[in-house]
Amino acid sequence: MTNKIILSVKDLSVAFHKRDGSTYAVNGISYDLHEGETLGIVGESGCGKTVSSMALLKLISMPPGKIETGSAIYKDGKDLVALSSKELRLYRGREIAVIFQDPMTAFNQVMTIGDQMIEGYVEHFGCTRKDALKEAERLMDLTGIPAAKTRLKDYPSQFSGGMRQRAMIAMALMCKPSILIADEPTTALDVTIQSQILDLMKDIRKEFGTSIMWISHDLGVVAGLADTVNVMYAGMIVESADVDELYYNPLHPYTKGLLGSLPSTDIDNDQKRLKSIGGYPPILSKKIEKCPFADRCSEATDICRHGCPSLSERTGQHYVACFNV
Amino acid sequence: MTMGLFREKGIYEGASDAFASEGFWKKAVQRFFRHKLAVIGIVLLLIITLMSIFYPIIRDSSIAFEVNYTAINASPQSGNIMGTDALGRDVFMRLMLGGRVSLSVGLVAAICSTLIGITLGGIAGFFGGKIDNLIMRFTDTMMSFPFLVICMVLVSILGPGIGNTMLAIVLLKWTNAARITRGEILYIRERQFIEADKALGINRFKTLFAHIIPNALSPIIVNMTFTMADTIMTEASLSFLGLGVLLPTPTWGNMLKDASSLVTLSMRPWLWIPPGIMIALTVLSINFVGDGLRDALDPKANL
Amino acid sequence: MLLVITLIVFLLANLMPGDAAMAMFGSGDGSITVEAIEQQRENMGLNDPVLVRYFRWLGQLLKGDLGVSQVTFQPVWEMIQLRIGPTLLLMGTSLILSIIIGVALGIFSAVKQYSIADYILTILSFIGRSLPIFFIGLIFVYFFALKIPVFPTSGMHSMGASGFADLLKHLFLPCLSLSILRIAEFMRYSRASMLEVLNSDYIWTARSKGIKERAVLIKHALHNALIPIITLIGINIPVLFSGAIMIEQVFQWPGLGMLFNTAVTQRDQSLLMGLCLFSAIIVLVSNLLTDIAYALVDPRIRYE
Repeated sequence: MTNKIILSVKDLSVAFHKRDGSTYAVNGISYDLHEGETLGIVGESGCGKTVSSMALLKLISMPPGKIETGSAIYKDGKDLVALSSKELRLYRGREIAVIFQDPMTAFNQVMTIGDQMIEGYVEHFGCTRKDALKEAERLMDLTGIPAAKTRLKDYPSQFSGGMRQRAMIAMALMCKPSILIADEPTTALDVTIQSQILDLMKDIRKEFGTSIMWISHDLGVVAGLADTVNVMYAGMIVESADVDELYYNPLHPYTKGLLGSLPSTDIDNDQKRLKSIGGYPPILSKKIEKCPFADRCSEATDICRHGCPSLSERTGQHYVACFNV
Repeated sequence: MTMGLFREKGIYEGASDAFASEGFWKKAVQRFFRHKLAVIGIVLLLIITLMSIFYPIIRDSSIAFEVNYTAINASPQSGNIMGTDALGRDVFMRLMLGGRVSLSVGLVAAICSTLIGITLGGIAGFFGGKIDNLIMRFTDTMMSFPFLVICMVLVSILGPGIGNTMLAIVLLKWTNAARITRGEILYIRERQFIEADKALGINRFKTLFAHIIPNALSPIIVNMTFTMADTIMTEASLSFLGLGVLLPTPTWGNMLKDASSLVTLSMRPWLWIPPGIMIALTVLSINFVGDGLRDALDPKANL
Repeated sequence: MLLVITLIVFLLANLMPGDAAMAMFGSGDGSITVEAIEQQRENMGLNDPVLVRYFRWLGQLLKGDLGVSQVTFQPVWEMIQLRIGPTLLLMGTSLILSIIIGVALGIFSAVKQYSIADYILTILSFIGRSLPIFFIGLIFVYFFALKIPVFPTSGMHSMGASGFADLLKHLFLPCLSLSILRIAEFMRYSRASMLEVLNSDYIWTARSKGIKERAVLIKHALHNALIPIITLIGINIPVLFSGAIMIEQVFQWPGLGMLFNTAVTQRDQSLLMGLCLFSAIIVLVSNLLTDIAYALVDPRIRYE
């Protein structure tokens, strides 16, 4: 990890405007991604972690989805929000690549794995099919798929779940992107396969020096992988800190709640029951006007119900959006 | 590990029996009336139904049957709203009477065939095994003939007339409802709340009535609307071919049969265009309603 | 399966009022006595038990003999053979036309979801599915053959004329009338299928790779959207045959549909049995072809 910022998100808001009402999925989030950094984005389902990341490449249905005015995403000095979909296409897969959550559905079932892997490569580099297939074979080898050469001709249904996810990762690496967005790539897999994939990702980070945005609802997985963690709630970043700082010194009541609900491996602790956070996240059909966590928060005071706190720095590099810390 | 997962499961379990609850039907009605085409369909259907019921009552319906040689083939500009036919009979009155036939054939045949389908499909799905095999084999065989082919043969065995036409259609049209019912039962049987009932030792017929019927109801209702549209079309086709309802009883189908003469076809469009449009409008509005029902009763919309 | 079908066909045909003996003498002629008809029945073996007659018929069937028409005394197979061509021509062109137009409009509609064009097309497909097929035929005859006499009203060839252009002219209206409903149906299904595909994860995967949107639609979406449509083709063939019965009547198209109409009105049992059997075979064959086509386009099935 270096100090060079390769992606800077400023005040990103995404909303879905449908006939029967709007959903404000992402509400003004800002963060920087450094070269070689692994950034964990953590939150419950529906907190906007996936939408905010996919919006970087406009990989959401638009309409009804819309990146609200005032949002900016800077990559190499260019604002990606302002780019047309044609110009943005040059970034997709080439600069920023995505590893999707469910390898079962993320592959096209009627195309061979090889054809799907080389598509983007041929498009971006304009090389021949043969060269592209050679590169695909190399990457499949690297990601631990045996007999890569013959497997390229196989269809996704002939791959097991773990192998498909390896192929998905190999596919994302084809164009040597500087950023990988990994959208819960282990959630759909068995536990043993999960740890294999995690190890693979660590190897890749070492080998390619790629920055990774790791989206997950699982604080445990993120703890072992990320350098920095953004905790998201109701489309906002409520806490952001270095991974050790966040785990040993959580400040936001929501983060504390999330950590409290983690099962502990500490034997002395087995008397303690797992805590869960009472209540449900708010329905995001209106713009946020008060602290979205106030209704579930045991420390909430009057001020929390009348205004929305913004993310601000407490101790060095530790940011929290809460009135009471 | 995550509250999100548990919460979703909770919602799912609460909604698994949503069909039986009042809230589902209430919401379904709301969704239905938000569906623009469905509302248009129901309004049109209501107008057609009310007119064919009441117009022959308000005005003397004999003008649809009595031969009147003083006003043969009168065009619509004359005293009769839509003119008269080759025997001087009032076309508009015949149209309304034809509406009675079409709508009643459609409604009765759709309801009866659905009931038969539910019964046979229910038996097949619930008992399974040999009974299931036999019934489904029979259904498959019935479905391996082009519908009109077997329908025409059946009508010519039973003979013409409103009742026989209905009977023929009922005898053939139950297959869809049977398949849907069986499929729903097999699907729902595997779901957890039925297992729970079994574990609790609740009688399986009670289970059938408490869970399966309400759950299978929405696809069956939707199917019934489309069956009604189909049936009206079939009756019209049979009557057009001279096999269904015969003259002097007017139906939209046999009114169109007049157009098989080139003179009528080219010179007297008021005799055959209105019944054609009536069939189209009726079937169209039923299709709209069916589409609205499908969206409104979609179980996924509630989850 | 085929055996059950033959049994049903035979039973249905034998349930029809009137029989071959009566048909031979015609009706309304007072000079024929009940005894004469009875004698004829005995001679023709019509008084044997149903099962005996069924197996006799089945035996003949296995030898490829469909029997002789009770009205024209021609062999049934010959009569059918003569009419297959025109019906297959009508159904074939109509099927191809409706698949091409229907699928193209459906895909277009799905890609432009929520646009005005999509809305209009959806409404049009509703209307298309609600029109009685014979009414469409009559309307076409009224406008394009009588009011503006561009096309002939009926038949397959003009008097004394033959040749491809003449045939095409005669084919146009019946084929179009037969196709309207199918176009609407194919459109509805391909729109739904395409919409479902467009919401799939792998479409987003394809987009995330930075390939052109057109490549996403054609290489990824279209292929997947077409798979369920293959099934639809199989389902549509019997429906198309039903439609052909009506359309052949309206346009006096000399095919199997018209033959079937005559057989029903004249209660020609052996011809009817032959035609019913033939139509059931058409259905079975089209189901089989559908399964084969399905396996060809979907690698998931190929490797199972």
